[in-house]
Amino acid sequence: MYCLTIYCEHMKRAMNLLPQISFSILLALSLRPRHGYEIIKQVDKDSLGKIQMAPGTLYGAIKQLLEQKLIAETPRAKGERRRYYELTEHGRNQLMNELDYFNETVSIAKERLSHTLLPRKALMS
Amino acid sequence: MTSLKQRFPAFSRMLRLYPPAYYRQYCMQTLQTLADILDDTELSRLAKAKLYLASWLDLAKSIPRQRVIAAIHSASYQPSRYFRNRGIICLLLLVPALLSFCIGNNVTTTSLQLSSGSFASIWFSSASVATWLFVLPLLATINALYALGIWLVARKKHSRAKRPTTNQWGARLMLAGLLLIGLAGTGLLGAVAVTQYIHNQHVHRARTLSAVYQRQHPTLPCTLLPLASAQQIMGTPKAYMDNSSSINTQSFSGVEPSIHNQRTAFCNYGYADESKRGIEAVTHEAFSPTAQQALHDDFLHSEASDDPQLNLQPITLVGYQGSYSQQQGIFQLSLWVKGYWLSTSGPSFESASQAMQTMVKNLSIELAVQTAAKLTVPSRQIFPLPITKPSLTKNDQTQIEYAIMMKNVRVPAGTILNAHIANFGNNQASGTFNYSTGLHGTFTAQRKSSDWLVTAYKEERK
Repeated sequence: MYCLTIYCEHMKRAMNLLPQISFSILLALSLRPRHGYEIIKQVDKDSLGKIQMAPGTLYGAIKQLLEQKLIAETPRAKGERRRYYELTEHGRNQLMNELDYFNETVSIAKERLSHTLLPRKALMS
Repeated sequence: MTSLKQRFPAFSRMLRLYPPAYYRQYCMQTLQTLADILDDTELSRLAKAKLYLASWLDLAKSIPRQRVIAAIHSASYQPSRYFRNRGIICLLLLVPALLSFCIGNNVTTTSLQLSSGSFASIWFSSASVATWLFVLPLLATINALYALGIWLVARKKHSRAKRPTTNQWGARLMLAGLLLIGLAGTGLLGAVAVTQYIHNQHVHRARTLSAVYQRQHPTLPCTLLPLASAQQIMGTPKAYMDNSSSINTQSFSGVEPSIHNQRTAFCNYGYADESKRGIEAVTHEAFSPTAQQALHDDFLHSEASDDPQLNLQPITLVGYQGSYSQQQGIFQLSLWVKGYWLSTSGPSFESASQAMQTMVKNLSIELAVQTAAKLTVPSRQIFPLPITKPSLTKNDQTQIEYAIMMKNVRVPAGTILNAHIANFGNNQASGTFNYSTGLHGTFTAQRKSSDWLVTAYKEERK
């Protein structure tokens, strides 16, 4: 299992793919800048409740995204305790690349499954 | 800012486990997000409780992850400093074990055998001594291996990327030092394991006898005390006598005339006189020439004498002391013989002196075994771990089953007997038995020299 995880991580890096959490955060920030809890809520909504992040995981991923310069912190208003994050140009391009890749993968998968599933559907009807 | 820490004191304390840089950057944000979750009016109480619990559980995953990331970063950009710090931690973990070895076996022996004075403290309990000798070196080894793993990951990570401009040779030197310390930790663990293994191996006849002897007299290893330790802890017999003028404890002490020219015995009260009589009974029974000769003759006819290396030597009495505690109603007798301090206690001086006679006899055999095995100090006194409970050997099991069979000669040929020994120790065994015919019951057996005899036998039919 551990080897498989390492292999998946390696493949993700080789293909410039983002981890699921990072992708979800980028997607959540694609509309407007958000602070921590807003990101958690938006990710929960986008994933239909499948990804529920806690603060520890959120800020670990945010730290990584900041280091990769995919997101940036917006200037804070005076007296504002919350920090808002926004998508950078590089982050937007990366998100678009990811979406293109997913679109291609989904179309390939659909095409393949339609060939393999047709005879079974025909049999059932 | 501080109000968030006051609102979540436990959670903010847990956040301190993050690496310092991460803590400075994200501590307040994490707390703010947690406050936002709990202040959200759209969420039900149950949902808030779930999220709060998830936040706690998430820390258990997130903190080690950030720690490893910080370690890899540190090992990549400041390798010398990282390995030096790790090396210092490893060395500190080994210090108690190394000190213990330098002091010798006195600390461990004393801590296990005497629970008086400073040795009664938690630092000298057997669990603590085991921590010194086993757990801390193990942690040092794990620490060194962890640092090695981090170094390998950091090296791989920067193999293709831009290599940080640091003193690579200095870092490697530090890493080598750290691994050396880790190796020392592994060596200590190995020493403990090997000693344990050798002590428990019944390959040498002398060791077999030693092991049997230990099983037969489980109290003896706890009452043997090297002379140096006895002097250190209890002082000389005279010093003990001077300090023993309490109301509830009456005592006396003396020095054997063969060592010093004059015999001095101090009897303060009547009970002390009884203790003195107990000691005199012991000395007469165990140390008189007749008793020594009888012991020697017994030994020659015993199983132990089959080993040509064993040679029973008479042991000499150096000093003695006795006391009676009115509060506890216990006589305590102590003998100072052949570099050991033997101590027994009992409700009457007869019982205490009888136990002492047995102990002296067994010490003679033990000393012969030690001399033959060239074990100047038994390994169980070096490490606290090998003090083992009496255990049942295959030979004992067979003999006990044979003795049970002899109780019932009417069983048909080919019947199989199984004896389950529930209690074993101190020359006695008890438990249940069952034959393949369905006959079963309970028994008690006692060891007579090398054989076992069934003393109580009760059978029941299904």
